[in-house]
Amino acid sequence: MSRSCLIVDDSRMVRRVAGRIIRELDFDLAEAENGQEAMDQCRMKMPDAILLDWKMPVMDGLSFLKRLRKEPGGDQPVIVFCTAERDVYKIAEALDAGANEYVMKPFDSDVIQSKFFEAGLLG
Amino acid sequence: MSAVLSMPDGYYKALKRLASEVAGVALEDDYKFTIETRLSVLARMEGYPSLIEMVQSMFKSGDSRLAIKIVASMLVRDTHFFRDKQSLLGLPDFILPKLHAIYGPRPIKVLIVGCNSGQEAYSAAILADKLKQDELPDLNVEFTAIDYPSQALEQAKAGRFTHFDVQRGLAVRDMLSYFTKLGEDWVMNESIRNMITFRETHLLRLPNDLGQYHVIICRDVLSRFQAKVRIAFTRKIAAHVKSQGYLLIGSDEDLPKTVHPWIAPGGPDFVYQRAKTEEELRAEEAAARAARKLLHPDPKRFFEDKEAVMEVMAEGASGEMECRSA
Repeated sequence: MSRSCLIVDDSRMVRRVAGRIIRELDFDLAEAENGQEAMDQCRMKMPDAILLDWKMPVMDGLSFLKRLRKEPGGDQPVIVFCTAERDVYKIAEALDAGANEYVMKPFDSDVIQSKFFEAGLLG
Repeated sequence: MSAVLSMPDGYYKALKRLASEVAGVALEDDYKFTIETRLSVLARMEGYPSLIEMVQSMFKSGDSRLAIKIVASMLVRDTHFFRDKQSLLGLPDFILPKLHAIYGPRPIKVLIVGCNSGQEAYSAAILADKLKQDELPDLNVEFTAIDYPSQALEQAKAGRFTHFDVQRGLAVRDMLSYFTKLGEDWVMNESIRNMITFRETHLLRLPNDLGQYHVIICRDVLSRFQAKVRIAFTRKIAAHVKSQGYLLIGSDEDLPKTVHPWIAPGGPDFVYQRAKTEEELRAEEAAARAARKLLHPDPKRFFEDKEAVMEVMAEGASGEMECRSA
């Protein structure tokens, strides 16, 4: 049975590119444009993995992550931050908030595959 | 792909022959596009208007420095941190604990053959550092990493990587622990860089002053050599391994099935150990004989026999000397 991944990013282009890569890794996909939409989807069905942008309208990635980890079952999804933010303190902040891995944009399929592997989602 | 290639087939064939003669590597035909891209970059760096002119100049002048640079840039592999991790873990999980049990805090010397742009050496050093922090606080590992002179080797020496490089094979926590962000790049921390000496070396002409090591890591190198070169190289690197030192190869690689001094020590399939030479075995036998005589059934009578004592001591000393010279 294939696993599920929720892609949370306000850019349709990023959702499309990342979606193509993650589908090839045998995940079922769902999409959300911001943290609030993602939270609504997680309350209905918790995904196995979440690829999460940082800066988004309505609710940003870090706020979503902090709230998700307090939800029932919110400790289950593997969270891979995927953002243009490359500051080491921001990366550390994301990890402290409960992110499992971190992708710095721009990315390619090797990077996504490598990070999903490091996060224990593959193999 | 062929539509964008500018190098005539004859040039490609000549370069293939050069790679075979200089490095013992047989280049595949489907590699043409990559090679042309890399040589174009090298031509720009060397100040030639085009790669064709660089190649022509090299063949006309017979400039061996340029020939090695051209071959080296054709051989650069696309690599990443912790490539073939299963095999690399043989170092901290099997080899280093065994050597540490023998050498304790004394330096354990590791040679990395074909270090490319440095990810292989830095990954091995990170694993050794973690083993030291977690289990063996007095572990002392010194790495020497060798490859042909190339831009890749210069990058290895600088320990400077792009954000793409540090995201391939490296967990984010390791990236934060072992790298410092410098502008857009990530630089390996000094504590790890200080563990490694990078050295330009012609891999088929290993210099005598390369020295001897407790471990040789030679992954994704042997499998690229032509069969004859692979056999000769496997024998040659044994000269740079201390008695009962180890060889670590890739998890999908095999040693040539011919006579060579490597034996399986009963660990993972990709770990080999240098068998003792006949000279070493003779020295050990002499030392054992001397020890047996010292354990004479009647020590009182034995020590009364001054001649026997002198003989045993002489034998022991000679055995020890042979061991040292071996």
